[in-house]
Amino acid sequence: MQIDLNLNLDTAQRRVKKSRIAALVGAYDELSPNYWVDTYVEKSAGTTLLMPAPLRPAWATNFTGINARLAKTDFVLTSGTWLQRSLNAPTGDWILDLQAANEPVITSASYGANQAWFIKWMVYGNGHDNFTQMWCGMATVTDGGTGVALKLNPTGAVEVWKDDVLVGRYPFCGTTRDQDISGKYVWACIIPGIRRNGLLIITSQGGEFIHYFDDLDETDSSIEVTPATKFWWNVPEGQASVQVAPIKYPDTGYRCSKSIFLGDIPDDLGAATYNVIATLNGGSTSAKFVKRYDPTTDYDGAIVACRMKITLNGAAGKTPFVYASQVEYPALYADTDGSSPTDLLPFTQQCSLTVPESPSGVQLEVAVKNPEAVQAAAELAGVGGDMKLAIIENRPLQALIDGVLVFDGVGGEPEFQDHWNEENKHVKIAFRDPWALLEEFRYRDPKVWDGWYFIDWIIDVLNDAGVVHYVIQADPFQIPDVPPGNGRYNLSAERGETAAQILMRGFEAYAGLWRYFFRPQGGFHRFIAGDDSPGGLFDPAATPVLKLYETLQGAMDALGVDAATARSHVFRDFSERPLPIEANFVKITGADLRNGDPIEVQKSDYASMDPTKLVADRPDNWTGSFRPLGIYNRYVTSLNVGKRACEKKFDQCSKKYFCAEFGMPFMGRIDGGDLLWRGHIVEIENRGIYELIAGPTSDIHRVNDPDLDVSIEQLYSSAPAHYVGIRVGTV
Amino acid sequence: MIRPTPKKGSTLGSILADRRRKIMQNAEDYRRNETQKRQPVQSRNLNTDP
Repeated sequence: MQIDLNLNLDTAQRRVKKSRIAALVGAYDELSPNYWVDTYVEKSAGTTLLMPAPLRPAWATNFTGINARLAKTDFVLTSGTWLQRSLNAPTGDWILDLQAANEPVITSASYGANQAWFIKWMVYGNGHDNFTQMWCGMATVTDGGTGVALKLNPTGAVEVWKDDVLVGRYPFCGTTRDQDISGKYVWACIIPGIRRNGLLIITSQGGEFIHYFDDLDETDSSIEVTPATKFWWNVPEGQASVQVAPIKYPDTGYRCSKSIFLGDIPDDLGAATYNVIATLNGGSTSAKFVKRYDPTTDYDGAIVACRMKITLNGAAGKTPFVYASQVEYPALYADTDGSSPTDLLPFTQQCSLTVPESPSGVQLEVAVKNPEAVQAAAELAGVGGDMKLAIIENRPLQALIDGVLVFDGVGGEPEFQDHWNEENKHVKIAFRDPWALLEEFRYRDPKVWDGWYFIDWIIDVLNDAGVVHYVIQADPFQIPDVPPGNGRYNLSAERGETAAQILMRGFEAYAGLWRYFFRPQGGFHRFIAGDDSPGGLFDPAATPVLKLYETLQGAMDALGVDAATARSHVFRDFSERPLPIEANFVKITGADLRNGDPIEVQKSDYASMDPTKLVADRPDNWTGSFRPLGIYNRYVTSLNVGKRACEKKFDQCSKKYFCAEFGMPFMGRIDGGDLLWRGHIVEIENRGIYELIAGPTSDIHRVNDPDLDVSIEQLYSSAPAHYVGIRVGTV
Repeated sequence: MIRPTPKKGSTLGSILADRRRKIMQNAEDYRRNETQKRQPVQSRNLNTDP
């Protein structure tokens, strides 16, 4: 069987020419206290919102439009003689007075879901009394029995109640020290729906906090903290002087970040894109870079310093809640010089291919002798000068068999061995598969993928590193989009992280059973990712790509082919053994996005651990001992992701695998084209169905034996190979 | 002339050695996580409350 092998050095390979330039702003202390209009940033998680009307200066002088307060006619007054007066002339700053206590009041109308409220009242007494002065809530009944209710005590706590259960307590003044508030009006803004399941309270005395309702799923974008309902209030003791208003917001506003120093000056200022992570509430948002000291002028690329300007547009008196914002200039890509590749084969002494279980260890090691002769060949190929074979690292190499690409690699540093005889000088270079590009690529600026489809995210990371050839199994999973806060995201790249690190952590968190690696397929060295689910890329029930026979005669008879062809269908030196189980207890630890508190999920295989199991009852994965696996993964930001990660890791680790190793007279090829590679499903006669987890591993070297009557081509075609597979089915 | 030779060492052998190393590493990772962790706010045991 005649084959044609080439080892072409210095081919065209896609690389990153200029890194993406980006900035990501989210946390409270990343936002400017100076450059803003009509926006408010709450401190506890760093959410930006349009300034609630009661917090704007116009609230003191204007009483219509977004500044309107409710009047006596807007309420159902159950009993008592309520008086209405206006604090400020001419009219509209309505206060309702009653010289009695415990008279509940409710709005006549219902308001929309997550309606925010402003409530203000006079503190009678000495101002140091510690009792509930105001009781209010969002419901159609006025006794706190259903819905969200608040007990407000300006010298003490704000108590958050839900359906008559106390669920949270926070200091009204933001501190527990005493404050003199006698004879003053105090107020609170109550803003539900922030960060999905949160309720933001801002008080006149400096209190500001978010209560999260844990009974509501923060991963669900459609949840409502309060439904469309009425607002009620009650002054339980003393006498009442109360003002109430449904909170509205100005139509638009912006907030700038603190100074940003971009990694570089962008080539194309018009190429910037933005991604604002927000709950829109019917409005819209945008972001861009502006000049550092002039937020009204766009960034001009003159210097690296600038600011990010985030614009919020509200709709129908509501505000978007902005959690984080990213602006970026895309990376630029270019091919390495592929105009004059040099074929190393004629000078190759030894050539070893290793494809191990780990995606990172694949390499093709090529040892060439006589670098002078290689240089001469390079000049013939058109290299107009010194090719620097023994000097330069990271150079591309493509291996082809019969013109079909079987390896597209990146060289390590050359290992040069000197000798007095020019012909015996050696250069050895280990070429790694494109995984090397993923390990080489580091994010210079942070990037966030909250809410992306899982497979779109994989493709994006590959693209960032310059890898554009892939086969990825379809999967509907979406990365969670829990509102990020204080610089914590569901899925982000930090500065300096490699694409490989991010992919590995992402697979661990979201797709623990997926296999991922590079494989030459259909003319490209592609990234392959998928799992063994029915219809998946590694479905054991799928038709094996190759059947291997015990004997040459058997292969010839079964396939009806000659001996030369049949040799590509024969296995030898088969051995099989069980692998030790990796763990029978798995605990996944992540961190809650909102406060950084740990989230943990665990699962045990009690039957595997149980030392008292009767011999005949022991499962295949019995160890009679506790074998733990603990993983911390910061992409686990919610309980649901933790459960998913734990289930998958447990399934993978606690299983008994039967692992087979076998040889072949030469590297298997599928229909004379692609090499048989890790990830392929093969049938091995009388043994079973196996998914290859390593291989081909092959070693070929040149010998100075003029009597050996065989051509180089034949010897390459006879490259013996080793494979390792796990048993996935029987025959 | 280039002659094929069998690859030295066993691939399965190295996978086994990796696996044994991993079991030790798993236990060590578990220990490190547990000792560095604050009290969790959200915790589930999938055997009892899946």
